[in-house]
Amino acid sequence: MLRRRLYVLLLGLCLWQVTGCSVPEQEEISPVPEAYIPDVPSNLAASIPAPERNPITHEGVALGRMLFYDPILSANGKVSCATCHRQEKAFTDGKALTRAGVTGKQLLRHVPSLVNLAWMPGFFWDGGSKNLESVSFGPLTHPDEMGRDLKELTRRLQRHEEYPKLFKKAFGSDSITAAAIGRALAQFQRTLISANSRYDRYVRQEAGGQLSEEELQGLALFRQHCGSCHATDLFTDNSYHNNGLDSTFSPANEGLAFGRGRITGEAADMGKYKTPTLRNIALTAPYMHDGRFATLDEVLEHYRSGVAASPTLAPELRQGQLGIPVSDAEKAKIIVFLHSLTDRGFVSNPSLSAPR
Amino acid sequence: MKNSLTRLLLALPFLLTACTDEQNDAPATGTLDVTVDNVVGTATLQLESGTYSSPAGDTYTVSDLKYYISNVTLISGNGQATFVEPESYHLIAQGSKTSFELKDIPAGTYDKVELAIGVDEAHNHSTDQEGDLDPSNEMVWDWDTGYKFLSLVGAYTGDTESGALVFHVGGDANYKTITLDLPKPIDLREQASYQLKLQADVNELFQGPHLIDFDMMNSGGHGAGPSMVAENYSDGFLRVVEVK
Repeated sequence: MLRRRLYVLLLGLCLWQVTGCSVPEQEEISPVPEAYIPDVPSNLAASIPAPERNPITHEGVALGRMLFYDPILSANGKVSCATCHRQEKAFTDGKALTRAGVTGKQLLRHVPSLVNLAWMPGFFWDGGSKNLESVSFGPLTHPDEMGRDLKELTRRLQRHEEYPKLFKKAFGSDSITAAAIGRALAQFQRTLISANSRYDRYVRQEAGGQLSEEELQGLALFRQHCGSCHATDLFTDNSYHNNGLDSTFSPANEGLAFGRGRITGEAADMGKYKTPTLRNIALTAPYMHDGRFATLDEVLEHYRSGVAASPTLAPELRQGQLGIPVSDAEKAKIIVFLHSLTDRGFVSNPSLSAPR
Repeated sequence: MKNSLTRLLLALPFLLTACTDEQNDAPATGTLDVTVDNVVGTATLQLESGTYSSPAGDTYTVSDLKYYISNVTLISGNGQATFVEPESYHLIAQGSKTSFELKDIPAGTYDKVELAIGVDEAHNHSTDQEGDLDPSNEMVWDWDTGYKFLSLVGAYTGDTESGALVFHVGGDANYKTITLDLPKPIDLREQASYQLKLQADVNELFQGPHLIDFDMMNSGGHGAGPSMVAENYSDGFLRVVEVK
């Protein structure tokens, strides 16, 4: 308080001293947003990475959270981010291809979970979106998702009773821009950290970290057969692979089925998709970029007996034969292990829920 | 708070002295008004109503033309002075914005303008930006983060086909730097404010080096690879009409 008074006094002194020539623009004394330093589970990382232009602050996260849950973001005022990204389902919606957007039209790709995004270099199933600050403009403006014109959205938020104040707190200006909306949403999404499942407590040797004999065997099998792509404790290598879902890739819908190949234009990337994280995988059915498999058993059966050959098929899935040779018992153990990745604290964490 | 306090204390001596020198001396900087006339051949581009003939002999109309002029730099031939406009991104849009002003140019003589069509790699991979790069300007791709460097939308009637023209050109490979010689140097010590009139000829998007026949090609431009339209806009699309 004393320091603040001294500051004001000094500022006054400066202004008084320079009278006679033009008064410099008065620097506004507004409180600086408070850095947000959450506890990052040690088996994930030491801290949350964020770009220099958008450091994580308490005010930014609070604003992003409010926006995330607010249907004001959609053209018809009925669809929020959380409509399709529901916390209890690890921020998915349980549908193969959702129709929850403003037009009710079925979308062409499965809603991905929003987990540990701070450590992902690319977003959407093909990684076309390059950073968290930009990704939200996709669903916000897509005519069949939230259908919102960004100019209209900023005007609407500007007229809102609360939002200008919240933007001011988070970013120092109550003049709302699309960029600030993207940054606030990015800040909140970087806090969607899940690494407190029973598996994590086992890895960190914490209380409650017991895995059963069957789960431990499942873990060993998982590491042997799945760990090259679902790597590290992020359970993804953040890369793109063709996992043998299809043998041909339709050019329909502007080459959507080209997957990563649609982004890079490379034949070598045809039919490749981003390795999804397996965190909370038991809560995020159905599976794959188009939600074609309803259960984990169907997924494992695909890797065992359903892998389709094509020139870009992952080499890991054609070692002598197509797919991964596992017995029924081994398959069951892997699935039991995958259930230990469910993080109940994450899906019920009140600080990630709808505000108020 | 502590930081701001320190900064203020450090700034104090400057605040006390800065004003005196500036008031008396002649202005050390000048301005340059840049105007772009979008034309087809010699005629001013008329959105919707104008019907034009392409270099390949197709008939076409234009409903929307937008492109980024960025990183505008003034250069003196002898290499003594260079002015780089800070945060230099100008979305030229026929029907709304066709001019911009370079400010605070250090007094000196300049005889070349360097500029780019597009958005440089450092700014092209995120769209949470403001001003002319604001994502609400409908010049971004969200599914493959980046800017459309040029958007031309219209309709064509070719020899065998007719339909929509949609050229959305972007991608780092299609960021093109162009150097334009000024017909006479600008000397900001002599004259503090100049006007530069540029012309952008839409037909040049469809020729030199690549003749584009709309029957064969009437859309595209997105992608990691080079675009023919981009190679065309780097060559003869923009020219200097006059400087005064």
